[in-house]
Amino acid sequence: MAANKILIVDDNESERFLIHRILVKIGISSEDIEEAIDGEEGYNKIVHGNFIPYIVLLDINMPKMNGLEVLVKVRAEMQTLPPYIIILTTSQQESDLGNAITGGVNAFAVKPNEPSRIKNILDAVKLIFINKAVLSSELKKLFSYINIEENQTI
Amino acid sequence: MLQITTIILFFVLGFLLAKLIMTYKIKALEANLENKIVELTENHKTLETLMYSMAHDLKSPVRSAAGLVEALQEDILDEAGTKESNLNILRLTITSLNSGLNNVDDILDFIKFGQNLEIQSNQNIQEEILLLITEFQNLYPKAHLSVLPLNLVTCDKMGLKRVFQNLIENGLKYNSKKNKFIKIYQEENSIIVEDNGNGIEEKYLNRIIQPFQRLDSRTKGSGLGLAIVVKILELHGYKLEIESKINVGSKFKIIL
Repeated sequence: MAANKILIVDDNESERFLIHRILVKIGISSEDIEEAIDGEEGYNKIVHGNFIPYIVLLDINMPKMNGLEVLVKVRAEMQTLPPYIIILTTSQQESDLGNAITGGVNAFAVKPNEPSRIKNILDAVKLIFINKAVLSSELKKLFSYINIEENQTI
Repeated sequence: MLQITTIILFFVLGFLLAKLIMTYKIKALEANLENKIVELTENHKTLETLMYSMAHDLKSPVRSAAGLVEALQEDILDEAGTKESNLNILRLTITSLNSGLNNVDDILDFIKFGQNLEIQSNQNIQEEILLLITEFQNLYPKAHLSVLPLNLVTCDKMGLKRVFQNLIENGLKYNSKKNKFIKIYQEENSIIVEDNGNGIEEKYLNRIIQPFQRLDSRTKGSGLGLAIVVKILELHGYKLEIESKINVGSKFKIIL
């Protein structure tokens, strides 16, 4: 099964709607986007779903299983890439960043305060999604750059 | 001469004894102080975490609403939105803002019930529960809500009423059955609130009583309901035990 989807895992319906909407606006087909309404559903869709996501956009603060727990469980059960897991959160707690890195995240982006600026992050997601052959080290470079651009504290 | 020596010896011994007692007392006080510092540091950490979660829970809905309004503006300017899609964005905006307001209310309650409890003996809590049941019956006309005779309780009436309000509301809100029921009854030294709701998995039982923890993504909530319950009960010196089975229901046992 080829990994060919972007999975949005966020418990907030509005956030899912906005991320989905921007992804479509920048040229990702709606058919390539899947959603999960919390960490547990996200985990199940990634590991036991009927598709393999190429990229997972993962929120942290969610009911049942938070994003960091999803990350750790997925990495424990799927040792190879994809899925590339990108934490996309409002959390600015340093402990979250630390735990995400230890958990094997590929990128960590803080949702900007101005909603329209989330487009900058999603533009990079699109780049990776479309050029599936890009090496993971390149990905990391790209995302650390975006993090610095988007949020000086990280 | 012997007498003077005895008196001096007596004073010296007395002085030494007093010094010993003082040293001992100072050490005990120091140990006490250290414990207090540890306790305060822990409280401070808890408060910081709480403040962080509060800020997050206030910011998130506002952020979403701002994003949605921006999206609507874009669609109107580009004439891209249909009436339906515009209304959908408005619906999401209203939901976001309402959930923000609801979070603020719950946070205020969570803080409010930490202070000024007026605990009195022999309170008739059954009357309060009956009033609550009438209110909930209007919201859930088909639900079967009942309370059996209860003993008089030592409590802050408003505080304990809030406990029952949250437990009843949870039992009805997180309940997808057609024939919902809530039964409240006395069992020896405990009051039981039993529901036939969706139930809580055992692995989540500890987590769900912590502030800002939610289990259901489909239903809106601040994640403070059970934390408020536990906090009020703790201030009374009462305990909460939860027994729950998925898809069968939960029993909340308030041990007085």
